[in-house]
Amino acid sequence: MMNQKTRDEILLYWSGEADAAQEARVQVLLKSDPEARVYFDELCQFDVLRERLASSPSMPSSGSFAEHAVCEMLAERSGWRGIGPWVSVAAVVIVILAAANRMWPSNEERKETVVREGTQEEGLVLPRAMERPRLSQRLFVRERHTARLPKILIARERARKLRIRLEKFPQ
Amino acid sequence: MDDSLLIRKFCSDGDGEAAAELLGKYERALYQFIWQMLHHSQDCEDAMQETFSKALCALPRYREENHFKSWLFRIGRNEAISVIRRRRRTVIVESPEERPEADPLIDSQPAVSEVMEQRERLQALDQAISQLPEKEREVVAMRTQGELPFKEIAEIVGAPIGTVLARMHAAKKRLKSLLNTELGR
Repeated sequence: MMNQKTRDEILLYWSGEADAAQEARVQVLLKSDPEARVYFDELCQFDVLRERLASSPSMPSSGSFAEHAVCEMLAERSGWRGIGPWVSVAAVVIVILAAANRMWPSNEERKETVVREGTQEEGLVLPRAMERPRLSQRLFVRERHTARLPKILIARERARKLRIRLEKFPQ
Repeated sequence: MDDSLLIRKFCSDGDGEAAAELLGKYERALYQFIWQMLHHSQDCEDAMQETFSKALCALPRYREENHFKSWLFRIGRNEAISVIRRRRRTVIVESPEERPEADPLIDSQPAVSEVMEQRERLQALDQAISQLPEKEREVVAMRTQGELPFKEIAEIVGAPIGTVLARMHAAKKRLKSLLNTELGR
């Protein structure tokens, strides 16, 4: 009965992977041991098996997988190459817009500053809610930041406060 | 052309033809190996496509200390195993009759009975291999159809060479009894 080591050596010999010492041992064994010879002959059946299976399965008639995979990959690459410049242009535009937005103060910020300065000049202490411009002004006013704007806004705010005081006045 | 040269051409120059030639060299062996693992045309084709796509993506990271064929077979094996896992080991066996154009015997016009006999033998062989446990089947397929040495198979499956040889021995024993049963019917 062959042991596992001998069996492994025969397998390696059949596969052409045995080293010189293993090869010499197996060759001696094949001459002297009928069981080893039968085992080796059975392994040789795998060569027959390979030949028999060579035609099965057939490759699909749709074409080469290799070519298909390469074409797909190249198409994908060229697709990205086409989009690439547009993506960078869009990125640059976004960066410029973001920078401009940071540098240019919003209408709301400007109005709040103006109102605060106006009330401080008059020495008035207004409730927090009154310091801010009206919601409609905050939402819809789109004036440019000109030199005249603070004066107009202060005048408008004064008129608003006067209106409030008049409303509180007894009829 | 040498594998490493083709790889260099593809990686540095983006030469698609070099990549197609490189993969094309092992296409048939890989297809047969995956076929023996899956025994299903559609799954086999999907796994082939996926294997080649992954190989092309990973090719720039390929290191030359490994044999390219083993590297490619490792990707193919992983793909086949993932298909098997997806299908929860439900292997649908297609008979060779479904692919009559594959039989080269038809071209040589032998006697009908001879063709039938050959076909039956081939079918029995195919079925016997498909009945092997997965781990034994992959070793047999890699050795016979992939023509990979046991040392490389051991690296691919991540097992010691002794284990791979034991699997081959077990597969041989099982195939012998399966074929005796099939052909003795």
